[in-house]
Amino acid sequence: MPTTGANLDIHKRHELILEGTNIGTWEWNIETGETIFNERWAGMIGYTLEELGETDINTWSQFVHKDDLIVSDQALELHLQGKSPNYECEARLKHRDGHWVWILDKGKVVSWNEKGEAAWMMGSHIDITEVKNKEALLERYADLLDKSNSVAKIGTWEVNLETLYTHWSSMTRQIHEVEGSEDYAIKNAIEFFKEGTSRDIIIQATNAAIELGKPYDEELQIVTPTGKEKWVRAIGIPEMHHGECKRVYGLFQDIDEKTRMHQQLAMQEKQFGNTFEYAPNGIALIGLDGAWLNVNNSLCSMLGYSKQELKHMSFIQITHIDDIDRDWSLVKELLSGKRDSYEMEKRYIHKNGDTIWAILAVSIVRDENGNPVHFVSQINNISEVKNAQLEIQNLLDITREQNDRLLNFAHIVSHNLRSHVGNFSMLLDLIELEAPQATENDFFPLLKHSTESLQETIMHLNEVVAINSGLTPNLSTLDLARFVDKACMNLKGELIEFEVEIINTIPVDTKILGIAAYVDSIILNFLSNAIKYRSPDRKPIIRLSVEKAQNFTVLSIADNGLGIDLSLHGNKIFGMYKTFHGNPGARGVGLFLSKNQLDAMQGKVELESTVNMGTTFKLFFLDDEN
Amino acid sequence: MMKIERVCIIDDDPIFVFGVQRFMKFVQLGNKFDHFVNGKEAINGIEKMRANKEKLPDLIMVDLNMPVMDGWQFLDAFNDLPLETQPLVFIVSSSIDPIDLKKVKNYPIVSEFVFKPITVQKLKELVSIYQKS
Repeated sequence: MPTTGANLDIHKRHELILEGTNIGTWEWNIETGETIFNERWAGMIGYTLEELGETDINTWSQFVHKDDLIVSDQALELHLQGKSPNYECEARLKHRDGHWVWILDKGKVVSWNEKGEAAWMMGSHIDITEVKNKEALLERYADLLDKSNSVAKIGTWEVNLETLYTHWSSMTRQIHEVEGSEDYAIKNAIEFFKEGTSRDIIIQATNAAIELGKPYDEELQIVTPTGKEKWVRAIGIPEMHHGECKRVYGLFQDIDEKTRMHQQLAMQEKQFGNTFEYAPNGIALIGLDGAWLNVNNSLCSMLGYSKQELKHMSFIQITHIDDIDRDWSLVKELLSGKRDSYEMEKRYIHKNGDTIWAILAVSIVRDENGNPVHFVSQINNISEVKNAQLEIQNLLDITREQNDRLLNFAHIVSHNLRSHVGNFSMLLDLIELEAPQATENDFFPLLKHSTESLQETIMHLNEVVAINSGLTPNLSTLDLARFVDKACMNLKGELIEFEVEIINTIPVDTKILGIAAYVDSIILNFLSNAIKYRSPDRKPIIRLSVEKAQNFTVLSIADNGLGIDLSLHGNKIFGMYKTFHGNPGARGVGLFLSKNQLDAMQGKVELESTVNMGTTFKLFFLDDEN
Repeated sequence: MMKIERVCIIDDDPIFVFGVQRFMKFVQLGNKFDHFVNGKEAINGIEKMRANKEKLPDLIMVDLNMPVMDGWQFLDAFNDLPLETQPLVFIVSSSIDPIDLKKVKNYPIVSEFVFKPITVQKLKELVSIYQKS
């Protein structure tokens, strides 16, 4: 080993000094490649010298990062050629644990051979991993800042107070929507601000910054070259030096979207506020304890309390005592999470003591963790509807009662009238039997006729009462054709007398559901009407037929008689009142009775008629299948 | 078969009673008439007849609507009387209430439900049915 320049004593001393530091050392014989490391050199990468064994220059290249080896070789070359006074580079060495250790590697040729070539080099290793990591972090931070600025649309700017020109970052340019990289004179820069308030403020703020060193932070509007208005936040920071402003720099942020959203939100809030305040129904925010937190005008006027009064009350205080339990148990279901809303009809008590009927709809508002915050109640005043309902119920009760009384009355009247009129006719019979000479008096037949009419009327009245009293027997299956035949038989005299032709197409096996006595009376009634209201101008023809219509068997009785002016009498045809007074347009109490009987059998009657052409009555009987 | 001689009329309407008696004479129905204005009077009267061992009525014509004791109550009370021979019983009423018509089915002692007004013709028919059979 050559010892040129290698003073062992000094070497020893150095080693002692180095031991107290954290510096690794190396000595390299450039000709032989022999390399000597100290313990610290090996320790930096997790080894002992013993573990490294015999070392030479390859030991270094074995541990160094490939990329860094290139850098190191270049630096070394420069130094060996005498182009740099020292060798220096930063390189990564592979630690025993697998991670990279950053090393600041410095060295210098310390001896030369006879030919003047470098023979020995000595150098040191300093662990700079921590510094390098911080550097990397900083680099990342700078990158991050740049990115976040671009996301947040924050640009920077600076005014050179000597030239009075501004320098803008690319984001600032972007916000102004200008291209290129030219700097703007401060005067031109200010002209971007919207004329009026925005421009006035920026001029004032800039002056104050330059002259008084006052920083500013303003939200203003600019107008881009295309005429687009946008909101920006301009922050200016003056840098003062001995009371004199050297430069002004600051930030420039695009807050257009944010500002617009903010304004929109404010608008929406205002609109919602208006909706809340002026909604026609009552709306309230109610605390979990039942206290009114906020109420709208409608609710106040509904209940007669002012907002202030209500805010010191609980909803329970003004709930009808009979409705409290029901309401409160629903509230508990909301609180327990069993339901999110409920609706109920309940009564409130107005300040003046009146009962207010309302439909209450309550929903619970929960925070993001699902905990109840408050209730939102909508209260619709239905007092008017409710009162109307109660009034209707009342009227219904009265009507029912009246109806019962009326029926009773009708029974009594008809009974008593029957007794008396019965006596009349009996006495008239007796006169005929015992005093026949009296019948020759002109008044006698009139009296007799009147009595008979009265008797008939009372009989009808009785029948009406009987039908309407609901004391009718159950419906049974009847053979319609036989009933029609029977009615024709009963009317045989008239049919012959007026030469009436009956065209009967009713199938023999037509079955209906009905009450025999009613069906008898109905068919007889309509047939006799058809004969009675025949036309004197033509031979009377009556057509009888049946057809099916849903659940009904419909019996048509069509005549070619006088017809009825339906526009005149349509709604009176089946009425009772008019017929009792001999209205010529009506057809006797019979139609009224028949209609009632059909109703009682769950059937109905319809009619079509043309004056001087004829009338068709359609009688709807329930089908047998029912 | 049987001859109707004694007729009992239970009715609170004097005109009816007057009229029906005249009719009965005309059709030669009965020769002795008893008249009671309600069921109670009638029961008392019949009890009296029994006590006196008189001949009881062959025909009883009873109205339904009467004060104190009405026709139905009379029939109930009459039914309870221990009688050897059963007279004919007609209800003669101006009622056409279906309830009454239904109810009469529960009274087998009632032979006829006659609606007022009664006429000579109707009376003749009844006589022909019951006086000959």
